[in-house]
Amino acid sequence: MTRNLNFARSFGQICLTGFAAVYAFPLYLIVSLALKTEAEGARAPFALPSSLFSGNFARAWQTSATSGNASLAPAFGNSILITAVGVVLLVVTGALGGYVLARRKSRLADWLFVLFLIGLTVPQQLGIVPLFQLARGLGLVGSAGGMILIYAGLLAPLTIFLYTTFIRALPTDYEEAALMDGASRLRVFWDVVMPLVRPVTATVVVIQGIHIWNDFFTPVIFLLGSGQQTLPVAIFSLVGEYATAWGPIFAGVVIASAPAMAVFVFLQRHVVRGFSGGIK
Amino acid sequence: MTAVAPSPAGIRRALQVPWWFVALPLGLYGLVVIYPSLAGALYAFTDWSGIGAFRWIGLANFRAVMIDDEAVSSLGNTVVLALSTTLIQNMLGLSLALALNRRTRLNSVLRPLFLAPALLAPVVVGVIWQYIYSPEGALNAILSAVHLDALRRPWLGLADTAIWSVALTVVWQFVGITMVIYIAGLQAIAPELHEAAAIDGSGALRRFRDITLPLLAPAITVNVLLPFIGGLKLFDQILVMTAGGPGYATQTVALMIYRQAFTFGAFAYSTALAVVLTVLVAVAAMIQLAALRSREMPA
Repeated sequence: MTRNLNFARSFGQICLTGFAAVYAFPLYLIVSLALKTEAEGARAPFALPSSLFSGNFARAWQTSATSGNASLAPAFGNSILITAVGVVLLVVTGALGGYVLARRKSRLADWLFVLFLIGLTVPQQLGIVPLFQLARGLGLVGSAGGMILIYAGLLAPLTIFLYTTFIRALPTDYEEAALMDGASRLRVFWDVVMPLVRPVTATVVVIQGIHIWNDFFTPVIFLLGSGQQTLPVAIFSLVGEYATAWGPIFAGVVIASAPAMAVFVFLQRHVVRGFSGGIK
Repeated sequence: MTAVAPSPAGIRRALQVPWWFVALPLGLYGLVVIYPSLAGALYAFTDWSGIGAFRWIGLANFRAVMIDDEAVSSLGNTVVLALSTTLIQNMLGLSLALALNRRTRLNSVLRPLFLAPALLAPVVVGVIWQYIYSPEGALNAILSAVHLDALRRPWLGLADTAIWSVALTVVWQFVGITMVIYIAGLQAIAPELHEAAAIDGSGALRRFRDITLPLLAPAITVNVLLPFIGGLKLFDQILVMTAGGPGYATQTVALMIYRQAFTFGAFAYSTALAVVLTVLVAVAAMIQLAALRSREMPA
């Protein structure tokens, strides 16, 4: 009986490992093709690279003479800038807003909370044309600053939701003690509340950071052709330029994905908690 | 002379969190989401062309949607993609969660492996699978290697296979999220329940049906809602892999809205399509939330 069970279990493990290998094969394929010359990639697409060829990375990274569009170097900088500043703005505005909505016991606070929740389901497509016209009128199309402001509004609902629900469950004792000592509300927010909400801040940074880093729909509308594009748009342009020269394209894919993968490796706990947060 | 001590209630009121703390997120949210969405919903009932005056034309744009072959097939594709990816992702995600639920060394390696594609940009995943499905790509090469040349085909170039190829790509990317949500749900189930049922003589299948599934209800709701709403909005992968083709075989509503607005300048028509998409998403969300609430009520 026990031996049968052990056998069944090992058989299950073998099947699972086999499935995992098939599942991970595309990931292996892009990294290995990025490291092969075009000739080697065509001749032996599945084999391990015979040597570590860096030419594809150089081609994807540098500005090509024919089109300034399909180079990843400036896009990498733009993605870093927009993601970093966007996330900081989301954390500060989301925590401040969530703090009011959690602590004020009034109908207005409940109503505002629901107003933010509605934004969780409204598709971005509904307002995209009026938003584009508004941004163009304000001179914000084609600029990193415009993208940062758009993300701060677009991703406010989830951020506000996370901070508000978390702060509601926090006791008010520390805040009251600090207020009795004469601290201003802003000081209490910064010195008392912000350290207490660190778990939410970690979730917001990871989840919204990955969202902004990977987003395509917003930058393809607001940045395409501006020379200020982010990595997903640059990859899209790269495919247009190199067609089926997969070496440079996959080198670009590796470059664009490396930061998110690094976050995953070093902050795995926060990533898993962020993704499974829907049910706690 | 003694100072009048303010009442505790008065102090509390004076020390309330000031409303201006919410001004910045509310202002940005209003400008980026609320105002444009309301304006978009209104333009759907006009002949607005982006500049100048516009007239109210009632439901004319929606009538045009209903008789537009492209719009009808886009709506059909969108619903098919949302339903099929949700279904496959849940079956596969639940199987993986059950297989990887126990804490073993192998499982601690496999779990992040299945989650990794979820961190890639959907555009990037589209590019990867565009290569795999291409005529000289990995899938056809593998079929040749195992002497199944008869099955070789341009997977994204044929109307019959393109939409399922796209669906599989979406499942490959996001099944890890479904898996971790199910694992979190499984781990919230007290092992004593299974032990007690086992002592009472319940078999594994019966315990799964009577204990695991009912207690997974909140996880199931989330795992149906998220991929279904995501499926209704599919855009990035489609644009990269097929651009909606062949013909309109993989065109989605989100892609058609983008084209109508930013390629053809048919602003009013595109907002009518966006209203249809919004209604689909809202109905799906309301059904799911109602289901969640009714199941969470104590019986």
